[in-house]
Amino acid sequence: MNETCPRTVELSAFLDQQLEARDRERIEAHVASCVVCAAEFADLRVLRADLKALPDETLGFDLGSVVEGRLAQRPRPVPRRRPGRPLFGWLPLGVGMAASVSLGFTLGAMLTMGTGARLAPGVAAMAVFDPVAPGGLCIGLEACYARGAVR
Amino acid sequence: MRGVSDLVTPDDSEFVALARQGDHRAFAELVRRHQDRVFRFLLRMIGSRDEATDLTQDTFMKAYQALPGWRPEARFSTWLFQIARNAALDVLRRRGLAEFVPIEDALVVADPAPTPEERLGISQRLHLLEHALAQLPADHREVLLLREIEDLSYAEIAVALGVAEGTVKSRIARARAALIDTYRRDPGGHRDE
Repeated sequence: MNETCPRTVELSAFLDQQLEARDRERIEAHVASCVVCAAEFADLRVLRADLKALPDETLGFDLGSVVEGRLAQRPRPVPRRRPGRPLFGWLPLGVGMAASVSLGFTLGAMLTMGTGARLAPGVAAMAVFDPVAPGGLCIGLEACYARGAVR
Repeated sequence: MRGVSDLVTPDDSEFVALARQGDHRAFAELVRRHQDRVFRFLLRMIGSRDEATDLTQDTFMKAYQALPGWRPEARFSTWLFQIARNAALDVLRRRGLAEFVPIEDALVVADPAPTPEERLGISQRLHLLEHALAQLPADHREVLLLREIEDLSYAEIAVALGVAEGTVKSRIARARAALIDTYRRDPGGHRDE
């Protein structure tokens, strides 16, 4: 083998007819004239022939029927839900949102309009928001006493 | 919808289309077409007939599940070899044999004292070749099996292995050289005849 000899990878690709036409002609001509490369190429060809002659192993039974039986036993795949909600899918959510907004408005109106609302006497007597804390001293301000209360 | 029996000489892609629509018979036909090729490949990759049988069945079940991902650009058989090859490598990894096996340590000739006539026998030679093939590293063995036994092109092997065609080309050459070298060291190998 000399420097002009093709590498094994080229001889291998030549055997497989995987070279471009120009390279194929070059290798063909070289193998025809180089004893070393001709021997190497002959080895590749013999190896190929021997590999082709290996026993043709077979499975020995009808795997198609087996697989078909296994597939039949599997649960049918659940169809994937379409992206996005159908029209009726939004209905419960819309009703909920409307109820929430209505409740908010009602509560808000009760708060803002609460000054004019008349409280039951029992509720008013609780005087939860009295300006003087329970037990605090009063130094005579009118505000300290409930309107109409006996001092 | 057309059924399997309505097809005259359908190719794989027609059966795949039917199988994707849930036609189990169509998929079973695909299995029958390719079961021996897949089994043969797996048997020589992992070396155990029982395991290869189980793995062949697993390969087709996985293929069925993955059918929506198959694209007609790749041949169905190439795609099957891709699945089978991954399954084989999983087995070899579990065994811890996916790494290179030194040829000198691995090559044990079955018959220690064959007669000259036996050495020349074809069956003996093929037996030794089979043995030498089994000792190759998995990446060399798979590429040789796909090329020499299953007749896949370099492009198809590249798809099955997930590598570039240039890698396939060099890997095949190295695998051949390694196998010839193993054969040459073997007292029953063809190089000593």
